[in-house]
Amino acid sequence: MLSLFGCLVATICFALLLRTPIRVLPAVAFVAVVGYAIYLIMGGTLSAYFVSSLVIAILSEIFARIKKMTSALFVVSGVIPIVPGMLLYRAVVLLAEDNTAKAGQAAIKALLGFGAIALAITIATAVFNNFHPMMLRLKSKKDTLY
Amino acid sequence: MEQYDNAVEAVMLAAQTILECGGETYRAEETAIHMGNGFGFDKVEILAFPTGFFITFRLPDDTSQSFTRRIHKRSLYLGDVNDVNSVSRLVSKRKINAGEALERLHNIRQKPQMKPLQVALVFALCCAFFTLMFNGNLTDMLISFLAGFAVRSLMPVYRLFRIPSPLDSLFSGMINAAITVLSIRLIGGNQDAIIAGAMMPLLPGLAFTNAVRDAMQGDLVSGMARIAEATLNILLLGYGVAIILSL
Repeated sequence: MLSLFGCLVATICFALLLRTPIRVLPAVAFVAVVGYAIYLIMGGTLSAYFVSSLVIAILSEIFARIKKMTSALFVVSGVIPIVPGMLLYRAVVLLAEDNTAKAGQAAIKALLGFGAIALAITIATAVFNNFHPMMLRLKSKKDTLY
Repeated sequence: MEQYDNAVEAVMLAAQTILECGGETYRAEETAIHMGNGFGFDKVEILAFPTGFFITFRLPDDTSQSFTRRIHKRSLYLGDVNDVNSVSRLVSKRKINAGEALERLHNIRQKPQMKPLQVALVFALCCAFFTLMFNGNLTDMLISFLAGFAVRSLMPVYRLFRIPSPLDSLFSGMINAAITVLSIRLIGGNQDAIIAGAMMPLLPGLAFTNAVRDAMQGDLVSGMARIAEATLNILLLGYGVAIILSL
């Protein structure tokens, strides 16, 4: 519970650093906390990275449509608690202790985590971006949206 | 020719702001093309990279104008990217003219920002609560706050000495680890939670995501450039921490 609260406040601070408009901060925090909760429940495996960032990206796209803002605002702040900082730190500590083999393991795990997050977000955005104009075309013929 | 000057400048300023504020390359390209169409150019071709862009306008009188603009600083202000996007939406719906668009873009670039001290405080709070997220206690949060504050408030100093910006990560990692190790010697604490928490806001999560997005959109050059930048940042940050920890 305490770590979810930490995640909430940290995400809001991070979003402020990115000059996120203040009126969307609650939505950003919501996205981040839901994503991190899913990540914790799934227990930090590779699929946990993938699924939680997929959920974050989908929620962000929905909020982006509601608030009429770019989804990047929500995705980037929302995904920051999941970014494998702890793994990377472990790798660095092991490296400093001359335990190269274990350090390599941790570093590769961290890299895979980064990759899974990026892939999940890319998939979600690609699907949404191609889906949305199709639905809109039913209503209005020529309205540029991107 | 002169009647297009404002429109040309507005399109280029929009693309420049997006690239400078950490937006994706394809977003800069799409924005320029949509705005160009909104201003009534016959055709706009743009080739953008994280470090600059070339743009060609085909004017209605069958002549062409090309420009090149270099991007020198790259930061992460997604709020500004969003503002530029809303201006470009208005332009492509032809709701505002070139003069108004240019003025709004200038306003976005010059709007009052947080003072360096405020930025450092928010950054430090961010570090402290990431430490809480990693199950740190109150003392850990305090140390993490101090480390984060030192890391962020020293960043403007690097610019003063003209230290190249990729080295920011190295110094940040070193300062972070040094303060943490010293404080733990003095008052004790959970080193894992503190250092990892203070590293979190510096990790290039966005850069990686943007890089993969760019690569998937077919912007291979931008994608690879951004992946290289992000990897360099991670490596330097790790090196900084490792150097101090292995002392």
